[in-house]
Amino acid sequence: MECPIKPKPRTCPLLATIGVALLAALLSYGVGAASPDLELGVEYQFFPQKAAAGRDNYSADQYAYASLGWDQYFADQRWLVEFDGYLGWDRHDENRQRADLRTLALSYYADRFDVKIGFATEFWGVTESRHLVDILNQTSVADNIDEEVKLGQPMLKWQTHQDWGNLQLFWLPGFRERVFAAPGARLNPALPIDASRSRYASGAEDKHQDVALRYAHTLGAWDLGLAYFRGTSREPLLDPKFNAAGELVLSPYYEQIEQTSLDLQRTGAGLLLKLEAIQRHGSRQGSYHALVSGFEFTQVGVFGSAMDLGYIAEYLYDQRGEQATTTFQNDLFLGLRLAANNIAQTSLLLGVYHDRKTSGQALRLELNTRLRDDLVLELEGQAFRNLADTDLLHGFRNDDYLRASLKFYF
Amino acid sequence: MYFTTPGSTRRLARSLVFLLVPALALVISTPLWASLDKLEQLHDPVQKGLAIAHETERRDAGFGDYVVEAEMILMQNDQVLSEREFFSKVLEISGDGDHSVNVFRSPRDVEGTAILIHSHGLKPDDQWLYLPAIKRVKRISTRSKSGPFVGSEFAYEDISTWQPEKYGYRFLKSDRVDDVDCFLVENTPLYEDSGYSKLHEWVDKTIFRPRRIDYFDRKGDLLKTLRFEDYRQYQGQWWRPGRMIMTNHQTGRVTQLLWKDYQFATGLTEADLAQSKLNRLQ
Repeated sequence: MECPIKPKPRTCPLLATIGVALLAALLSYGVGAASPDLELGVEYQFFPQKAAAGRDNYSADQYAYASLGWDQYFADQRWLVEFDGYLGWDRHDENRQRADLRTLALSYYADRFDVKIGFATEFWGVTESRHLVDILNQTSVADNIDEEVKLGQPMLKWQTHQDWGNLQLFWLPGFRERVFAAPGARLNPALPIDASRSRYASGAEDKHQDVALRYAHTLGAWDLGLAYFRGTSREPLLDPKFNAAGELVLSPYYEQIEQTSLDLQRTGAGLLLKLEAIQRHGSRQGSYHALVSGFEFTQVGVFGSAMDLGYIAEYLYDQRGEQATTTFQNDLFLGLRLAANNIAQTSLLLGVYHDRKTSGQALRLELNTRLRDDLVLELEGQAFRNLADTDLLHGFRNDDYLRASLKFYF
Repeated sequence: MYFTTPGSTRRLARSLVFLLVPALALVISTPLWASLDKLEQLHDPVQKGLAIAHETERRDAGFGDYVVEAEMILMQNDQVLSEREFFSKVLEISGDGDHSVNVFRSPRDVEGTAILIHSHGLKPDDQWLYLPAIKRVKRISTRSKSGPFVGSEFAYEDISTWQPEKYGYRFLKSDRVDDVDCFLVENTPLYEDSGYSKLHEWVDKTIFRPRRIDYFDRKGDLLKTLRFEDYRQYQGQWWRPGRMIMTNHQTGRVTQLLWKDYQFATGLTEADLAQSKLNRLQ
């Protein structure tokens, strides 16, 4: 496949070289090697409204990607090499045009502990509407404003599994900046973000060495996670600045923070109770706490069918209020999740985030169904209502969208 | 008792072991017809049904652990609608339900997805789902026992591990399935949220494993029939089917479940089937 991509500054050539070398090593490993998994996807995104002034006024966007995954165990499953490389091309948003190593990691598994080194993704947390305690990986909001697309994080991870729980220690020697939609593209904040003007609280900038620790344990119906992180905040403050051309832009500023977090879930018959809470120090906005908490109740076999219907309600709070770097400072999320339990394993999510103060709303739809055993269709819709001028989502006010994706597996 | 020095206690214990081991071996190797004979002499249908269940459990107790590859073929009118491949790891837990995990190999969009189940008999099971695309382990509610397993004609409760206390039993009659002598037993689910009012199970009189199960819906109508074929014995002891065919009489759909490459005594431990290991169950 010929790749239309131009190398971007954030594509690290060293990593790409290591990736290719490792792939070559895996290929030469020959007999017994697991086969690589290739996934190709095409996306069509439709914007029914005219773009806000100053933006490129396109009503449709096209996106295509290829991802190659390969996991290989060695030596009686003691060693594991994981690879997951990604290439994306977008017609309008150059920040979605990039190659990324989501995973390139080597793991060693002993009986009571294991160690992983490389680029990897770690997910923490339990809630659905926002992943508050999930802090290790950087996010690409250019790929999806739902903040669920993650970038590989360089790490050394050690973990041990004991009767008293699971303990993880992380050394995070590098930092990756958040990926925002390119200036001029749709789904941008009210002012363009100039990522070339990123600033850091630490003199070491993106070379600051971060550390994290997590303890997780299951006690009967309860699952508990306690974590500590010290290092560069993944979520930048966006400061208005004038660029060289004299235009007002938003300049990302990455602070040094300390964060402690708790995630908790109680699993009952049909009812899940969830809580994520953080306490963050070191921000120039002062110390603050934030939480997401709620429940998910699932009704099985609804309408006399085999379908399950889940009702989700979560409250999102941030102590900084209107000064928060998130729009979810005093919001309610209500959602319905339908699992059809059919052969296509169709699932549908309908949700609304409701700002309790401004009545601003963000509505979301996600549909996923299998068309063939090797072909999946995804629909995603997002609409914004009553966004106040002060709302961080205000820049999205004309960017309601419907996105259809086809994913082919080889 | 001045002669009971620690050393002599140990000797006494050792000689007791030497006596007990052969005695135990004698009990275990009691000819199969002996237990069958005893069972046939029972007259009370409830007592007999329960005795059959306990004998079934006794015959399979001690298997330890096994690993097996599975292929599921979803069909309607002899036409294949979809296929799934997964492997299972099962660990016997003494005094509680088994721990098991199913890891999907296909369809490709769910490759690597794992469902971990710690079953607890009548108490609700513990269940975790691992979603490899987002590297997330989700603890899930176990309410949907009656729901279909990955869109097939098997419900979660059909593939969950069987334990005697999960059902009430009543022996109905002796019957034959494909020329095999069987006990026909009516099983009534005692756990909550079952999709069935009752099951009719044909238990093979020789190997004490099911040959056929009829499932009746909550209204009491015949819903599905499951047939067990190609039984083979592993390690000279454990009987497992090579093929299970579930026919839904109400929709006409059929799911074939093929089991292959059974491996017993793989050295699986409780720590291997833990939530924290879900991302590396390969």
